[in-house]
Amino acid sequence: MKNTFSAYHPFINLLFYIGAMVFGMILMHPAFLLCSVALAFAYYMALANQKSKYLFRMLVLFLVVAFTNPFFNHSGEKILFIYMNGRVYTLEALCYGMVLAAMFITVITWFASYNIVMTSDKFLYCFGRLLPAVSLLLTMVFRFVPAYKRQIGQIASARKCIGKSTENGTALQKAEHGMAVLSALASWAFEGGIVAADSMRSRGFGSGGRTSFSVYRWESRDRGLLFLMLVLIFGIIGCVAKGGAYAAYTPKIVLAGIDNRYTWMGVIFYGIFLSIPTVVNLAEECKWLILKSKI
Amino acid sequence: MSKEFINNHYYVFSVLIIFIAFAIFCFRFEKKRPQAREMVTLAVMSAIAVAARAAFVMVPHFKPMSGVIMISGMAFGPGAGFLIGSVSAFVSNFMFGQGAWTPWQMLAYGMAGMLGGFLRGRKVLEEKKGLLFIAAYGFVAVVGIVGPILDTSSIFLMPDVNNAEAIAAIYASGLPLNVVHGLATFLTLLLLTRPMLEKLNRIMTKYGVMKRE
Amino acid sequence: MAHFEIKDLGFEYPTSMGKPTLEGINLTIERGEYVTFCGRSGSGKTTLLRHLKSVLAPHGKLSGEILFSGKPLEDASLREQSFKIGYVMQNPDNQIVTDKVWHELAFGLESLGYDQKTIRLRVAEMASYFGIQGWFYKDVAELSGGQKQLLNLASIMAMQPEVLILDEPTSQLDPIAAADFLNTVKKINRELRTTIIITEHRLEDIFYASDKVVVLEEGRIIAADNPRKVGEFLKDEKHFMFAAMPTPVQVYYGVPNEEICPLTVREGGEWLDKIFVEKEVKVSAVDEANAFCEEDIAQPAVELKEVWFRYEKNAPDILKGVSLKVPKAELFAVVGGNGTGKSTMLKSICGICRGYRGKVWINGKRLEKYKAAELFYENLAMLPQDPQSLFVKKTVKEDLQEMLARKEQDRAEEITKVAEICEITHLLERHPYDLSGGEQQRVALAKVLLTKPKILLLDEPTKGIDNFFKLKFAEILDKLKKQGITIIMVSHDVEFCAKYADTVSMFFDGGIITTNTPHKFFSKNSFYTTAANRMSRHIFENAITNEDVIYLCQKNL
Repeated sequence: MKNTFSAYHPFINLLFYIGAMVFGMILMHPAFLLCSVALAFAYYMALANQKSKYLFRMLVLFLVVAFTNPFFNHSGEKILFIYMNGRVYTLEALCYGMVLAAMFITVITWFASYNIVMTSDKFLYCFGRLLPAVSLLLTMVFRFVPAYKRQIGQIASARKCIGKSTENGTALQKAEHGMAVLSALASWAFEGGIVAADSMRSRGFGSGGRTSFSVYRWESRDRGLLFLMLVLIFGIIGCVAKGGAYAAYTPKIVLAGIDNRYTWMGVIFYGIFLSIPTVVNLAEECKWLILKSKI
Repeated sequence: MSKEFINNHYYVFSVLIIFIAFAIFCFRFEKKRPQAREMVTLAVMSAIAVAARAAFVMVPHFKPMSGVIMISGMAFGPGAGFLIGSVSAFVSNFMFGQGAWTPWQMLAYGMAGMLGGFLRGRKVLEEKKGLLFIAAYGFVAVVGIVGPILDTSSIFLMPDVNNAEAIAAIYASGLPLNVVHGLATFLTLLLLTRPMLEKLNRIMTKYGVMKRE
Repeated sequence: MAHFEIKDLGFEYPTSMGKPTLEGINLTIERGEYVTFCGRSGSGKTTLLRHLKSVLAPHGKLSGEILFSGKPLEDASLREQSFKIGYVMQNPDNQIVTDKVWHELAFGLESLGYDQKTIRLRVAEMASYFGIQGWFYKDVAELSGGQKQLLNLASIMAMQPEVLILDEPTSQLDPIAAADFLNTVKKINRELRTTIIITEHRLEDIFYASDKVVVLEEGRIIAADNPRKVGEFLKDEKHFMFAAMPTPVQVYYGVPNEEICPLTVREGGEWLDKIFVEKEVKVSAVDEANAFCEEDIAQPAVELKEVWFRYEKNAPDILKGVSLKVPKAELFAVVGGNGTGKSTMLKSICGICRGYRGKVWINGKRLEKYKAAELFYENLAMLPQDPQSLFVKKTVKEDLQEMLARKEQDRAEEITKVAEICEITHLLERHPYDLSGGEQQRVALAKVLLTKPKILLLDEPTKGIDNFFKLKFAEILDKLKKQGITIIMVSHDVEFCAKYADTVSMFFDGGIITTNTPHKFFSKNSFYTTAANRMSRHIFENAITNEDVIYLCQKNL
C-alpha cells in the first residue's frame, strides 16, 4: 500500500508519533490498550515486509513479558501458585504483566512504523529551525557515515591485495587488522574534513544569519489534520484527567468502568487519533479506485 | 501530578529528564555559533565512531564505538566528547532503527565521551604506561558506567520492576556483555589512541585548526 | 576595470624556510575571461588560486596586493566574497557536506540567509540548468564522481558568482565525465559571462577555449598570453611544460611548416590536409609489432576462462563470461568506459570478487588452490585506484616498514632498493598525505612492490597525475617489466595505453571485446582512440601517438 500518511508534512508525522507513544506508555486501561495494540499493528502491517515473522516475534515477546512479571512482582490477592520458599505467583501480577507486555509491543510496533515514516531528513527538518547547528551537524554525520563505510571497504580490500588480510588469524590479529584499517580511515577522514570545512566557509558558512531550506510544503490538508489531531489530543487529555483511563492492577484490580462516560469518550478519541495514518492511507486507496473506475 | 502517577511511569519521566538535559546541551551548542571547522571536527569524529564497526565485521561482538568516542573526548574535552557520543548513538540508531532505547544509548555513549574527556591533557604520547592506564580506565568506564546505563533502558521499559532484587538481576544479566564491550574498548584504546591523537595533532598543526574547546 | 588585478604578489609558507611559494606575480584578469593556469605539481598554482578568495588563502607571509573589481580583495566581506567568488576544489567527494542533493544545492544560499522562497527558485533554476532534476532527491552517496562534481559546481552557481575558480576539477573523473564537466564550465562562461579561472593537467579540453593561458614555474609566471603564443613560447624555450600541450600543438611544432598552429583535433586534421595538399603520401604507416594472437601464449601469467560474477544473488551480472590470457612480462592494458566491470575483473583476478562460474589461473595454478599468504607474497599484488587507501602510518618510511613486520634483518636494504626503483628516496621521512598525487602513487607502488610480486595489477594508475609524473611512472613500469614482472592495467587513459602498453584489450558489458597490439587496436577504432590517431587517420594508417604522426610527416615532407 502506498504510504500517504508519510507524504504529509513532517510536523504532522512527528506530532502523531509523539502523541501515540506518550499515550501508549501512559495509558494502561485495557480498553485504551486494546485500541493502541490493534491500531499500531494495523498501520505497521500495511507497511511491513516480513509480516508473519514480525507477528510471531511480538507474540513471543508478549508471552515472555506477561508470564515472567509475576516472578518479580508478588503483590496481589488471588494466588495462582506458590514456588521457591513461599513466593507467590498472583493473578493480579499476571494481568499487570499482560498490560505491560501489551504496552511493550505497542511501543515497539509504533517505533517500527516510525522508522519507516520519519526518515532522517524529516527529523532534521523538524528540528532544523529550532536547532540549526545541531541539525546541520547531524546532516553532516549522515553524509560522512556511508562514505566512511565505503572507504573502510576499500582500505580493507586494498590491504588484502598486498597480503595484509587476516582471514585465518586469531581474533586478536583480526582486531589489530581492524585498527590498522581504522587508522588509515582516520588520516583520510581528517584530510577530507579540512576540505569540507573549506568548502563550507567558501560558501558563506559563518557569515551570519543562516536559514534552513526544505523541500516540504505546508498544505491545506496538513492544516486540517493538525486541527483534528489537536482536538483529539486535548479530548484525550481531558478524559484522562477526569479519571477516564484509571487503572490499577496490584494489589487489587480497579478499573474505570465502561459506564464512566469519560472512559468511552476517551477510548473513542484515542481510537480516532491512532487510526489517522491507516485511515489516511485507506482513503487515498479508495480515491484511486474510484478514479480508475471512472476512466 | 501524583507521586503514584510518576512512580508508575518511570520510563516517560526519566526520558523527559534526559531530553531536558539534551535540550540544555543543544542550546548551549547553538549559542556558541560553532564555526565550520568545529562542525566538521565533531561530524568527522562522530562518523568515524559510527562507521568503525565496519572495520571489524570479521570479529563478532566487537564494538569499537565507545573506544573511538573516548578518544574524541580525550582530544576535544568532556563537552565535545559528550556531544560526539550522543550524536554517534543517535545516528547509528537511524541505521539500525530507533526505539525506546535511543535516549539511553545517547546518554550512555555521551557519558563515554565525557569520561574520555576527563583524561584530556594527559601526555599519552610520551608516557609509556599512560596508554595502559587509559585502556584500563576505558574498560572500567564501560563496565561500570556506560554498560549499566545501556542496561537501564530495559529496567525502565518494565515499570513494574522496582524491587532491588529484580533490578540487581537485570544488571547482573547484562554484565557478561558489558565485559565483552569493555574488552573491545580496552583494545581499541590501547591500539588506536596513539595513532588517532598523532593524526589529529598533525592536522591541527598543519592547518592551524580544529582548536580545542 | 579589470575583474582581478594581482600586483606583485609574493607568498611564503611558514614551513618553507625562506623559499617563496609565489614570487612577483603580476596579472590582470578581465571580466568574462577564460583563464587557464598550468604548471607542474608544486609550481604554486593552487596557492595562487586560493589567494583569490580570502577565506581559503593559506596562512603565511604575504606581500603585494590583489584588487577585486578595483578594490582590495580583503575589503570585500566574507559574505560578499562567498557569493561573488565561487571555488570548486579537486576532490568531488570531500566538498559535499550534506547528505541530500537538494540540500547541498541550497547550502550556500542557506548560509547567506536567503528565505525559503528565494532558495526554492534558485535551486529549481540550478537543477534545470544543470540537468539535476532526475537525481534531485537522491542521497549524495548514490552519485557517481562526475555527478558529484557537477553538484559541487551547481551548488556554487546557485549563489550566482561573478567569478568561478576551479582547481583541477576533473582530475578524479573519467574522460567522459571530465569532458562533460568542462563543457558545462564553457557554457557558463559563454552564456553567463562568468569569469573562469581554472587549472588542469589535461589541457586537451580547455586549451583551445582559453582566452589566456598562464604558465607558472616555481612560483613565478613565465608566460601569460593567448594559447597559440604560449605554445610558441614553450617550444622556443624548449620548456618541459611543452609536453603538457594538446596533441595538435605538439605535432605542429614537430613538423617544419608555415601554417597557423592548430589547437583542436579538427584544426589538426585541417592542418594536415593543408601541408599534404598536392603531395603524395609515400610512407603511410609506421612499423609495428605482429598482431596479438592468444593461441601463441604457451604459459600465460594470468588466465581467465568464462568468469561470471555478480555482487548479490538478485543483482545484475557484472562480469559476463570474461575470458583472457595475459602473456608474461608484458604491460597488458584493459580500456573501456565507466561501470563496464573493468575494476571488478581485476578484483576477480586477485580473489576479492569470486566468480560464481568460470575459472581463474594464476601462473598456471587455479586461484582457489592458493592460500592467501601464498597468493599475495612473491606472486600477485594490486595497486588500488586510490593510493591513499594504503597509507596507515605517519611517514612514508614507517608505511613501507609495515610491509616487512615479520622479517627484521633485510628491512633497510629492501626498502632502499624499492625506494630507488620508485624514485621516492627523498620522500621517506615525509608524511604520505603531504605528497602530491604522483608521489603518493609511487609510494603506494613501493609498498605494493615490497610483496615482491610477479604479477602486478594496477587500477587506474594515471588518474589525477600530471604528465611528468606519468612519464616517470611509465619508466618505473618499464623497469619492472624488465625484471620479468607481468603488469595488468585497467585504465581510461587512452594516450598512456597507446604509448606504453604491449597489448590492449577493450572491455565492454562485462566482457573482453577485442585484444590487440596498440597500433592495430587503436587504428581500428574511430572514437575510442587517441587524439593523434583521430587527427591523422585520414592520411596515415596507424599513427597513434604524437611521435608516430611527427615521424610520418617528416618521412613524407
